[in-house]
Order: sequence, then C-alpha cells, then structure tokens
Amino acid sequence: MLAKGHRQAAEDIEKTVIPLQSTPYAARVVIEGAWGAAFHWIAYGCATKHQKHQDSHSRLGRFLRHLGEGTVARWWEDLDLVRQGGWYGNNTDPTAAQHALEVLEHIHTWALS
Amino acid sequence: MRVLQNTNSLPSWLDDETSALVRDMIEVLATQRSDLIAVILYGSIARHEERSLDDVEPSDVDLLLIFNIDDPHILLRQYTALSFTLGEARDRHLDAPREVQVMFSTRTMQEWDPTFIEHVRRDGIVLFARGALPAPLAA
Repeated sequence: MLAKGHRQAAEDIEKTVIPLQSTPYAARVVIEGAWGAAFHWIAYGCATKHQKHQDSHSRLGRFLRHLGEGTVARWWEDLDLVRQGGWYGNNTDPTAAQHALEVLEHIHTWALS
Repeated sequence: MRVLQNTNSLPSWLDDETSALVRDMIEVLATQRSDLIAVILYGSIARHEERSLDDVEPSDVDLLLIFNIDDPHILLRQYTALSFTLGEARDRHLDAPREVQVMFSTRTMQEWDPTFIEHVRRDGIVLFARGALPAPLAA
C-alpha cells in the first residue's frame, strides 16, 4: 500500500471509532480500531520521513528502532499491550479504550509532524 | 510451576542474544519498579515447543510481569511509563532474533481470563520473584 493509502485508512478508522469511545460495549472495537489506525499512521509516517515502511505489524517495534524512532516504538508497544488486554483479558472498559485513543493521538501527531 | 534461581539461568534452549534482552528487561524493571513482584515465562518457549529461529516466524518470548497493585485501572494508567522503561532494554538489544512480548498484571490477576491464568500456572517458569507468588499462581 502506498503512503497515501495508509493515511486514508488511518483517517477512516479514526472517524469510525472515535464516536464510539463512550459506548461501554464498544471498548474492544475502539481498542482494535485505535491499534489499526496507529499501524497505518506509523506506515504513513515512516514512508514520508524515512522513505520506507512495513506493510505488516510483525516486529514493528524493532523496525521503528532501526529507523531511530524509539519513542514511536514505545507508543506502539503500549498500544499493543492494551490490545492484548482487550482480547485476552478483561481490560475492555472505557478507561482502556480512552488510553488507546490517547496513544493513537501521539502517533497521529508524530506521523503528520 | 518451575522457579529459576536467577535470570542468568534462563532456559538453555533460548538463544544468547534473546536471553540477554530478557535479562536486561527484568533488571531495568526490577531496579526502577519496587512493586514488580514476579516475571513469568509462559507459552511455547516455556513448554519448549517453540518454532525455531530458522522458521519464517520464530516463536516470540512471552513474559507476564506482575505488579503489587490491586486495581487494573491504576496499572493501566502506568502502561505508557512501563513501555518506556522496557524500551530502554529493547533499544540495547536490536539484534535479538526473537521478539519479547510482555503482558502486565495486577497481583490479583482479576483482569485476566481464568484459562489464561491456568496456562501460566501450568507451564510457567518463574524468572524473577520478590516474595511469594500471587495467590492465583501459588495454588
């Protein structure tokens, strides 16, 4: 996918999940959406800043560190933790969804900076 | 559940560079967080059923980090700080061939599914412990 496509995907997902953030039963969807949008913002940011990106989330933290983007790697890992808590645990309330959206905002801002 | 005496004796089937990363992660966290009470290796590597490094997708190292905190919401608010602390170690071991996936847990483990807790209790290897293990794992 080209950088433009990643940005469009990120924006589409954000527009979908942000209105759901205060809906308790939607927490899992919001967390998954935040994670997905963050992945696309990272791809877009890497493509525009470093002229390369990954089309897979596998080993994304390592990829970012090799690019010198250690802070973004930490945000990504933070979001990944929230996502795992949502799927495999009971961290599925609005607090977790809100945290996921806050981390997404950091990544979004970085991608466009 | 098996208990290792110290982190220098990680499972012999784990490669040296990944072992060094795991040791570093535990040390940096144990130093900075006095409320870290246990680190447990679980999953395929703990069971020695891991996909090898020759595989297209080698198995990840799965660690459960347990804190002396009761409220999952308090722990959740610390995810970013914890990710940044662990990132210090990750930055130093970019060539480790296996990924290290971590999960955070409160002492009560109330935020985790009972099946997950049972798997950790059955297969887990304690890499670090301060005091007794949390009740759900000590049974």
